Amino acid sequence: MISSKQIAKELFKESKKTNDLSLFVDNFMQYLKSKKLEYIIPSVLKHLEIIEKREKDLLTAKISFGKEPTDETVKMVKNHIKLGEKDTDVVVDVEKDLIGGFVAEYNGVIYDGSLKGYIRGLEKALLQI
Amino acid sequence: MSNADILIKKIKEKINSSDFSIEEQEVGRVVEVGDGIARVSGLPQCSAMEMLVIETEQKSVFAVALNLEEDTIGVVIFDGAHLVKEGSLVKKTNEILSVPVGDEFLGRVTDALLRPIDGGSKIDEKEKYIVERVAPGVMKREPVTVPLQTGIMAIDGMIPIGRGQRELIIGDRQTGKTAVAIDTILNQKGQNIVCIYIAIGQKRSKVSRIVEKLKKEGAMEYTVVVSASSSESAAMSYVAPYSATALAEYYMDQKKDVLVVYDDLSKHAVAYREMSLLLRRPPGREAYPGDVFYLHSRLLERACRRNEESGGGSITALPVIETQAGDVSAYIPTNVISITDGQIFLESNLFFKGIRPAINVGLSVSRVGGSAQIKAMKKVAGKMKLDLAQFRELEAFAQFSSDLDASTKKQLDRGSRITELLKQSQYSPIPVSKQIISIYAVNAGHFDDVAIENIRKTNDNLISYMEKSQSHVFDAVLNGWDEKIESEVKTALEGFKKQKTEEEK
Repeated sequence: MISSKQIAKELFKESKKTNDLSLFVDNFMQYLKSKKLEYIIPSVLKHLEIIEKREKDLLTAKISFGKEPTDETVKMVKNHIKLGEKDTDVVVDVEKDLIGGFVAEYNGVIYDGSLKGYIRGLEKALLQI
Repeated sequence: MSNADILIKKIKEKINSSDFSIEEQEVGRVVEVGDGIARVSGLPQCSAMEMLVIETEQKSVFAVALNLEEDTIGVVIFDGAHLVKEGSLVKKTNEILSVPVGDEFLGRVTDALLRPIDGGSKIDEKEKYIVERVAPGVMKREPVTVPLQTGIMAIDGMIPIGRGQRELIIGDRQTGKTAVAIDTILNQKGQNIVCIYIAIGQKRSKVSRIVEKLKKEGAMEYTVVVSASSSESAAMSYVAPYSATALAEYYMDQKKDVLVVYDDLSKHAVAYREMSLLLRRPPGREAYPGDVFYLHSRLLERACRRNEESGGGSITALPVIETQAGDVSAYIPTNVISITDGQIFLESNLFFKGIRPAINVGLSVSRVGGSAQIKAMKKVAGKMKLDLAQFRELEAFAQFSSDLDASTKKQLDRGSRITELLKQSQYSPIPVSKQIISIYAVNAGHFDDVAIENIRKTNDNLISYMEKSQSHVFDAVLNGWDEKIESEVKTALEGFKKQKTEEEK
């Protein structure tokens, strides 16, 4: 039997392809009714929320700077993490701990170009002497 | 150039050679955590058994990826699981679970990841070995022909162990399983054998006692103790035998012979069951996962004797299994029995009767050790195993019968004398040459006129007599066995008897 998690995943995938979302939802509800599977709706919704949150988190770029960045700097960092002109949520903040430079997280990858990171690397190298 | 100048120069070199480019690292996030297991989202490039670092507020926590699922990765956390929170950052290390190895481990006590826990100096990580190495192939192996003496007369005489063999020590709790293993380690002194003792799920007090004993007897010089105590996570218990075997393989690569004691694999299986159930792997018989056989077979297959072309060296494995109420047909005992090249079965009944080591000769066997036994021992102890097994059977029947024929009586009498002779105190291994003389003496009827309770004392007297006046016989029996040597032994025994009679007069 298909689990509610699998149904939620397929639903999420197919919903991206369709143009008429209301028709898509109607068809889905009809399917559940015909198979007497209405009871799984709460569970499917729960999984849909999880999938959506994960997707959103993954596609949101978080960029932290050591000090207040200029628009030009933000643009350069966006280009570096291959964000370009993509329609992606970007959260920019200032984290003084970084001392300088930036740390960006996007699509499951961390880009560390901060002074804090360089000092950490230097510390490692010097400890090897 | 002064020291300060050299230091400044080196620091400048390091700064100039440092990489100041932007570091890219694949990361994941902890989605769920509990009972030492975490589910991590992200990390699409993660490999099975890859080491991961979970960043927490206090420190970085080590974990290993075990389950690669469609959406998440099931990871087991080694220590500090309580620090991990939902949302914690997880970094890849691009390194399959590996442990440091080296000669400096000798004499040390380490945890399951071979980090020293004895308060001694830090061990340099010069070389690392993958924890789950594949066992040497068929063409790299050689038959077991070199003996590994345990110093326990009952074992060396009847259930001999060879270098590269896997011999299971099995029995209920409190039957002396660990004692047999420790005695074997003690007997390796001066034999150029490296010993590794792995305590899995043992009490720390017990491990500490063992370490003290090994130190006292001077055995720590050639021994490494790896401890995953019962207070540590299941992941530590799971990984301990594998990492210790990786260290054994390092020594084998140095052409050395290694003895590894896994104490015990029942607790190892229980730790793996705990982990598997938490990782939601389907449970099978006794709730163990389906691959519990493979868990132990892949570990014990790494014990072997390697041929010279492939580097030589050997790993002898002594796994320990604890049975419940003597049930050797339970799941894990039958699995390990079928994997190993024989077993030493210890029995509670014998133990409480005072027969220690409490070896049940009928159920114990060494499938390959016979070819590793030295010639003299093979000659003198060849029939002893069968005689003793028959004696135990007869002994049970004799309890119901009052009149026995002369041959049965003789068999019973000889059996009791052999049993008495094979009793041996803990931590007192006997050199094989002395064992041969004792076994020859009892089998040839030289102790027939000695009262059973005096057998051990008489044997001690015999050995000290021979040490004083006939020590060349000990060397002779080590090099072979022929009529000449036998007549020398006979003469020595007669001399002892004569001296004893004169003393009694």
